[in-house]
Amino acid sequence: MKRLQRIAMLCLLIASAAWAQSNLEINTPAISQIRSTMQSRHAQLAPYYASGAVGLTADGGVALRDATAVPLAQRPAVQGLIAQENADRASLYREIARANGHPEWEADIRSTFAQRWIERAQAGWYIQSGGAWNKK
Amino acid sequence: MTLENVQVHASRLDGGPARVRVQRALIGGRELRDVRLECADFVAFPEQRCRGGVVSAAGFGPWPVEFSVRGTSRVLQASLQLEPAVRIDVTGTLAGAHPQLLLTASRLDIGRLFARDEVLNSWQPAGRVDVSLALADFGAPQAPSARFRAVLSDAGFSSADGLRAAAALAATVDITATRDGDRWRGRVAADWAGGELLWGGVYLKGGATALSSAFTLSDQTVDFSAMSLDLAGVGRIDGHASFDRDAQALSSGRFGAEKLDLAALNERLIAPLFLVRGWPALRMRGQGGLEVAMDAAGIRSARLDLLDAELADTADRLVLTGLSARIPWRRGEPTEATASVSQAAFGRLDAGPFDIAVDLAPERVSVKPVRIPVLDAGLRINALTFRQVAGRWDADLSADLEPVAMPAVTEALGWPKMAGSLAASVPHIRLRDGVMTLDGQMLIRVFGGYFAASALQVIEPFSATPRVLADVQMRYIDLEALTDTFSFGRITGRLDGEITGLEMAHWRPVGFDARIHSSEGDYPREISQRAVESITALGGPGAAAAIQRSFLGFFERFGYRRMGVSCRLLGGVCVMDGLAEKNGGFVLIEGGGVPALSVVGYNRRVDWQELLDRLARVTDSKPVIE
Repeated sequence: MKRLQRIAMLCLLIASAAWAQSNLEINTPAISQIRSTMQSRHAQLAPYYASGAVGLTADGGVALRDATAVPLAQRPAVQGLIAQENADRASLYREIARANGHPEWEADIRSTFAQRWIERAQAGWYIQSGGAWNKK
Repeated sequence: MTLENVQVHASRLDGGPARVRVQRALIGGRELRDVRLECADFVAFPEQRCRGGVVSAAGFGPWPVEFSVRGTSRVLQASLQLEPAVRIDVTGTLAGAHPQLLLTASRLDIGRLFARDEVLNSWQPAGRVDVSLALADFGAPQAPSARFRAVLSDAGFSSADGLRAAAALAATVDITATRDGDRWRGRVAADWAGGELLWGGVYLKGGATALSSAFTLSDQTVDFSAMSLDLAGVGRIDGHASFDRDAQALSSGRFGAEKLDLAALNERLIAPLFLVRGWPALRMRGQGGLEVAMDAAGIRSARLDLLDAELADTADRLVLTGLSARIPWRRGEPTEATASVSQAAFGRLDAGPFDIAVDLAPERVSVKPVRIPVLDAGLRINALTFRQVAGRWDADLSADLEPVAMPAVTEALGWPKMAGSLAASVPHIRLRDGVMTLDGQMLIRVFGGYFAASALQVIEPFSATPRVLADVQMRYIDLEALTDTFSFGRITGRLDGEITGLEMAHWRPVGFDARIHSSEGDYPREISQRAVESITALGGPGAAAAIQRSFLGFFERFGYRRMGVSCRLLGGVCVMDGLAEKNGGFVLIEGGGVPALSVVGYNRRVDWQELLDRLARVTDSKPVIE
């Protein structure tokens, strides 16, 4: 229980920091670096969340929901952004687990994060649950 | 054509309404029931003519129709209005030695054409097409022939997920065919003039892209021969292929290309594939060749040739020039790939030329031992093997760097000139599950002594955030060579040190516990006035040399017995200590001989970045550890 609380607390701090750009220090260099690349990518992804082209998955990642919302020529670039974002999110979960000395927490951290991302998503963004997309 | 139970009702043969009804018609093997033709004005002699007609059959029509057939050669003119926007015009000569028929339809709406086909309709076809079909010598003793042409304009389609789609397509397809016994022989040509296409992450713009091929169509197979695909700017791919019509699959095929322009190929096909996977892009130049053989099970063998190519990452950190390679692959069989590189540049370090041979086998790639010339020495790869285990690639490496002159290394890297030589030995590095681990020690010989790294791990070495963990030992480092390099002021002597728990993120130290001290043993121990000033400056305000300034100015050199410093780096702060406590400070240099000098530090907590900045200032050059 205590362990889950710690994970949840940690995730809350980082999820806030990654999107709200607040100045919270999660003190490992690897984590802050991943966070800063995710922050700068967020500016590129935000319009696609808003248009419904990209949505948040239930497992703490992002996915292409509706490519037709993006002009044909830009679709590969959006796919690339999604691939990079998911790779960074995976590293973030792994690093947090490692930084806390518990690599085996990775899956717990991922699922706690998934909830936090969804809670923090803006109204109108799409969220996947049970394979179906719902508008928040 | 067979017609059964034909009823004709006409009041007159020179005009007026008429009605034809066929209970069952067999046309080209296809059965139609209840075929009706009603003409408002029908004439039977001297020509057959129907005006204001309507034709229908069970499941088809009613469609407005008009036609006339004139003269002994039976010249046909007809029009059939399938929909308000779909009109088929038919002209032809039905009688004589060479009967001909031409069907044309203009500006057909592609979306409406496929509206009834559930599968095709799900691809959301759209656009316009002009179609013409010319038939000649049908029903005659000569070989009948056909010519089909379709001109697409502003056409497009999209899969449900939008990842396979096209828009604003302009293309022409020409097919000519002649009946030869029980098969058709002909040619097909397609010219993609414009528009955009997205398929599996590859985004292509049309223009100057053309496909042509001869074909033979039989009941069982379609054979394409002399196929040729011209890709604008990239080159031409030739080949042949056979399809099994029953299995609706490729049964065999061969495709090849010579002299493909790698820059154009990269821009149009390779870079887009990297982009969608979020991989960093590559830069390519030169020529490539490709040979692919296929059978029903897929690709049977392939060969990629590169000729005088250049390959680099976009940041130019790794550049291979004069790369020629021959990379064969065969299904289920090992092959050997060979390559020669005239120059390789790792950042500012040039290497090469070298030849390399690689054994390729299913789920295993091993590089044969190779020596890569680097400056005046060589990097020996003794063993380098990649294995695919459960979808991930593991690797094992053993390598040695022959002694290379430090002046050459430092000059190439743009660093302050260092004396001595550099050599390294890597007995065994393994990459497992994203973690690179060194078995045993890596030994780097430099400054007359050595650095030995043990427990070395690189976590996610190929990610954006590689982390390095190691313990480092240094032994018998010649201080004179080291300090001369950095215009620090001369110190004569030898240094030992232990750096445990070294952690680097993004190749910068973020944590360690270091202790550096003069080596045991008998050797000259001297320190110059300039070096004392440098060490004092490193301590920042608050640090002091435990001698009077005036006295310091008297001598150029001082003797010392021991020197030592420790630094525990954590959270960007270096917590320092020295050889011993003295007056609330810590001794960094303990004097000895005549004249003797001691240096005591008082500032125990130093910001790491601040320390690096000070070091940069006193050495007048960027320190290497940055």
